[in-house]
Amino acid sequence: MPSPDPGLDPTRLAALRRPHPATPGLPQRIRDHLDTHDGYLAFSGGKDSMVVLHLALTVEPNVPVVFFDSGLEFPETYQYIRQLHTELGLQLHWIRARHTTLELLAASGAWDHTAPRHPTPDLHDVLITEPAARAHHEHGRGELWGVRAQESRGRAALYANALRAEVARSCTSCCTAHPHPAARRRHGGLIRRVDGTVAFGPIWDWKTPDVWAYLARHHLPVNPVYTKLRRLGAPEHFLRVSHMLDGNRLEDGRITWLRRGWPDLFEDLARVLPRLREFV
Amino acid sequence: MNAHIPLQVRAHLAAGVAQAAPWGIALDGLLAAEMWADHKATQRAAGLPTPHLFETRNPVDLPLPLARCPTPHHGLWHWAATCAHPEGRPDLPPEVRTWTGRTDSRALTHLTPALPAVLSDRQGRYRARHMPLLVTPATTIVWQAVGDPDHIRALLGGITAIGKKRSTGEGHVLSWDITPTPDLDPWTAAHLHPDGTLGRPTPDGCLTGRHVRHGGHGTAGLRPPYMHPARQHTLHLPALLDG
Repeated sequence: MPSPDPGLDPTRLAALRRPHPATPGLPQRIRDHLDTHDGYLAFSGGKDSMVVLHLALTVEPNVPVVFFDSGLEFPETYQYIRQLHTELGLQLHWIRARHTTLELLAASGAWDHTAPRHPTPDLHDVLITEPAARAHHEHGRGELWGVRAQESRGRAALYANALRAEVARSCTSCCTAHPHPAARRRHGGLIRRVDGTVAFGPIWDWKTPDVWAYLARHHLPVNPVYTKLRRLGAPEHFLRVSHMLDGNRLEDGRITWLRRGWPDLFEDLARVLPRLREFV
Repeated sequence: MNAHIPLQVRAHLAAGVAQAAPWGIALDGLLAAEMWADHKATQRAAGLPTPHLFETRNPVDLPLPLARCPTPHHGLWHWAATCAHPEGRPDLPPEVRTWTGRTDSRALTHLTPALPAVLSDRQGRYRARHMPLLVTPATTIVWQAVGDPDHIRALLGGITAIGKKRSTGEGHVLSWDITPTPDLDPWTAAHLHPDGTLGRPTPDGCLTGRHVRHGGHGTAGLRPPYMHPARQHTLHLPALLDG
């Protein structure tokens, strides 16, 4: 019989962590959301959307899973999504952006001191808004996603405002103007947009350890980019697997990890975007 | 007379070396930098300008005290020397330190009479930096090479720090050791780390018929000046420090 590895296994330890208190009620909320709004699950290949995917599959195995392809995802992410598609039998829909991230960054001229500047379409519109509109058109106005309030101040404000609006809109008896934990569990995470679409983030108020604990508890496969970034020494807030680069967080060293972990890709990108070298 | 022999170069470090690349610093790059600095000093003393390397279409190959790898590969050649390899350590992850930078607006006023009204340190080209600095924790790093030990010793003797952020104390070299290794065959000394992995960016031709663990296949510099566009080729990359 093989002897176990010596020492403490952090993954097993994480699996023993107490689940987030909202977890038991989430399948029902997801079911209600899909029954009411129909729609799709936005899957990025990250840890948060993996949790939401797992939760959603427990109540609706045929939920449409949509991957918005920026054209500049990590190679491991593409491989990981194809693997999940095969192993879990996902109803996967692959929506490619009208322009890839790299095309837009290069065309802008902002990444090359010698290139002329050109106005380019907004990156958020091309990568998120337009593909999401296509997905809503094909699958309905509902959306499930793994966006969490802890990820940024903007997202925290988005969920806080949406919760207040939802309580005011839907609740006449059970909640007060200052939502208590039960109200958060009943109404939190729901974003009603002006275009009529409705997004629900089941794990909107989870902290990062809650996410890792869930993944460990259910033995879910995790995008290998996380392991690679950890091995490079990247801190927790840089463990992100969205597209490899854009204009965000360059001054915090985002490119340092790309340079170190994907040297061949970095060199190819730096040929097209020479100013990339200023950020390592 | 050919004074080139297989050898190992060791740098004994105070506290590791900071670097962005996922492989060590190239020995031929270090030697070329020293010779280029001497060349520039000589030119300056004679009152002559030194053209910037990036303005030079085909940079001159300095006469480094190293052998040339004799393997022909479509006209590509490289010096017989490897990149640095941390000695005697398990696979430690890099130590992550931090460097910060903020634009000195007052200093900029000395450079231009037409500064914009606002130089934001939150966005744009002059934004403040708070960057990770990856330090390879090692007390000794080793290179393998085929070259002239005396000449190499003379050049390296003047180098007191290597890698990034030397001015803030990173990469401090306590001493250099150059050891002839006659038992090492020249090909191995020119290409491989002591652990048998690929030790330098290498053209395909050098590895024909050999199975060597490397760091993938991609664009890299073949010889100094490594960053010059004329020196960039598609090569086998050295084994990565982070596995």
